Amino acid sequence: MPSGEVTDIEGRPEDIRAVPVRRPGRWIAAAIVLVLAVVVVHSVVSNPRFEWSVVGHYLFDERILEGLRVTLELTVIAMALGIALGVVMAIMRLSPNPLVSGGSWLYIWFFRGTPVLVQLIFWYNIAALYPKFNLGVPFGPAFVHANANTLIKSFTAAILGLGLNEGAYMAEIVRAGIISVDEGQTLAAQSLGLTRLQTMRRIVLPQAMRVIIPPTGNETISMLKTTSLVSVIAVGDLTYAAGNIYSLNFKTIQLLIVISGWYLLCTSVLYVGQYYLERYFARGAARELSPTAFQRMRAGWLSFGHHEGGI
Amino acid sequence: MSGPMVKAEAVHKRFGHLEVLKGINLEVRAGEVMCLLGPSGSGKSTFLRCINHLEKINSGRLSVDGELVGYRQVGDKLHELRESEVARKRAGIGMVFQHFNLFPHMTALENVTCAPIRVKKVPRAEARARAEELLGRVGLAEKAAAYPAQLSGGQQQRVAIVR
Repeated sequence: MPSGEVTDIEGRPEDIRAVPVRRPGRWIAAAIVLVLAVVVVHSVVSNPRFEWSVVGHYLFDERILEGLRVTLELTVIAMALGIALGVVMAIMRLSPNPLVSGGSWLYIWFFRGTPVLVQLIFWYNIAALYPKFNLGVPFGPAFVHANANTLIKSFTAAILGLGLNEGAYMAEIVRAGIISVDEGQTLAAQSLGLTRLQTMRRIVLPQAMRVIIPPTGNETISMLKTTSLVSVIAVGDLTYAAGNIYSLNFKTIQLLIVISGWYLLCTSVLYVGQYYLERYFARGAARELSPTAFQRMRAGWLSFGHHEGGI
Repeated sequence: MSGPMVKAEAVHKRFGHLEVLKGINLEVRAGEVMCLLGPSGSGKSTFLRCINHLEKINSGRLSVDGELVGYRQVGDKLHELRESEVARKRAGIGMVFQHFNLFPHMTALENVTCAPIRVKKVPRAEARARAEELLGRVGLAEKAAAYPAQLSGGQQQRVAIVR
């Protein structure tokens, strides 16, 4: 197109195509990062002590995969327990009844204020405190009796320890979400004749989800890694399985690389899940939904093709 | 013609030490249109919220359609109404908020059908048809699937009125 002309052949105004500003600082920074990356990769690949063949050998080992299954199972159950407890505790905490909100405060105070590791060992040894469990009327007759040692095995202790601890954190996250919803929403819902419970379930919680989801994704990722603590109470999770193997063959680093790979894979999957959840609950918040990765890819190709076909 | 639709007798409302409503007396008959005028902060919105029992009045009597707002009189004692009873009464009173307070996670149509479906237990299809008709009447038929954030201020106001 000759210069000076501002419209294209069909008379539409032409897009501005200016020469971009040169930024030498960016090139220098990029070069430094690139050199550092090459140094790290080179040392990892060329150092024979990494014994990558050993890593490959144990990556799909049966014991490792069984440990992975236990880790995922623990994460899902403990998170489910934590979220359920968190929602209940958050609503209790906002209750006008001082006993109800006080009870929730006490729960959060205790379980957030003691280390998870201590809680895990505590639940594992609960039989020392209460050898027998009775289910029945408080201070009255009992209907069901159970032995603590048979009822609370190490897996149950792990679920209790992780789930109850998580519930305390989730309660604060859910409470923050509920508080973040504008009070006018509650007023509007009430003026339409919705009851308090309907207002919470239909109006407030769906909007609170936007605030609740990101930290909950964070908690889930954190939980996936925290499950590695259960190896101290002899639950056969991923870390425990690796420990069993390297205590025999002393390939400690190689097995840690194996399980780190699995942990990374799982957290990456969670990242993707979180993105789509956030997108779902963002409906109505923005004028347009942010595109999914696939949509972005397709749009990228289309605009690329468009430029090719342009001037 | 029956009694007044809205009747206020010596209605007082305080927020802490701030006395907002100092003895309001007024009557509105059915079919009447009334304007409350006054400078900002003079208590117009507070009074409207009292009519819907979103605020509790401190003294006086306030009734809608001959029934006390928020209370039941037994002898000369007032009993607070249960939450579900208050909710049922509110469902019969329409209110448009200053900031419209549309539910941002619902489409215009869902905003309008929410109360009929949840409160009056109207079948979903029937509520939809009625809402579509009402939205059509205010010229928003093609915006039924839009979220409040995608509507202009005036369009939001019309959805709030339909709701």
